[in-house]
Amino acid sequence: MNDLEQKLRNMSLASPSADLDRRMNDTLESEGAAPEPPFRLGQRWRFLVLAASGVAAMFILVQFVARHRQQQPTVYRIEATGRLRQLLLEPPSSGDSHAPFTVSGSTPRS
Amino acid sequence: MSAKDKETLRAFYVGSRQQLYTYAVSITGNRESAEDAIHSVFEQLLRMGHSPADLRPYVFRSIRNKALDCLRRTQTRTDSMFEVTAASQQSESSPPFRPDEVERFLQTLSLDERETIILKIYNNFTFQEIANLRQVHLSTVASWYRRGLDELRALLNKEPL
Repeated sequence: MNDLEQKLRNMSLASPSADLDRRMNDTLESEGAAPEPPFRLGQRWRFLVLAASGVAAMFILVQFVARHRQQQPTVYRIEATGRLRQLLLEPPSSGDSHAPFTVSGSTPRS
Repeated sequence: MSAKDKETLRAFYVGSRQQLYTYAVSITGNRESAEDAIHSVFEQLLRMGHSPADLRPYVFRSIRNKALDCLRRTQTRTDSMFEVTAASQQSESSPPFRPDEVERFLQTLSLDERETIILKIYNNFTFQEIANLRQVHLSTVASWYRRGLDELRALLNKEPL
């Protein structure tokens, strides 16, 4: 270290005020006033994201099941009796004698 | 933050408060802003929840950033980093250099030169530590230091103190 450096080093420096020491002391002493540590905040965020994902997954599942149910054909079993039964079991050999048998109509409402 | 980490921070502050303050004032030129910068950095450390492994360079780097923000906002340098007392300005018992003159000459240097001199002389940083802090090459730091000291020496020798 040369002479200039030594002289500079020997100069008297201004010191921090007592107010800074007090503020620092208060800050380093405080327990409750300090904000939550990031890892706790992180845990909370993870929990919220997980919960939101669960709700979204449940919603999608319900939608999927509902749509799947609607697409399945509804089968009605009708017990035919009398003339209709005879026609079904023993269809006429000649198509000319009777008109083609068709069933149409809306599904019954329960 | 754990009690151990808080104790580490407290011990670091107590042991380095003078150095941190000198460094902050050398950048802000304002004692109040310098103290705010120091306090703010330690608050930030507490919010982090843990003490960084490289505490010393981390704190100095953070104080530098805060102090530069303060300087950009105020743009006025009013306070000296040296203790300017009536005794220090008297000729007989005064130190070799007058604090107000040295302060004035330091202000004529570039921020890089001035900062390097402060870190080296008053904070006992090595060139390598300064290079890491400033994220520049070692030779750049050495160059700032030598050039700054040369300029300071020329100024101090030119003006009768």
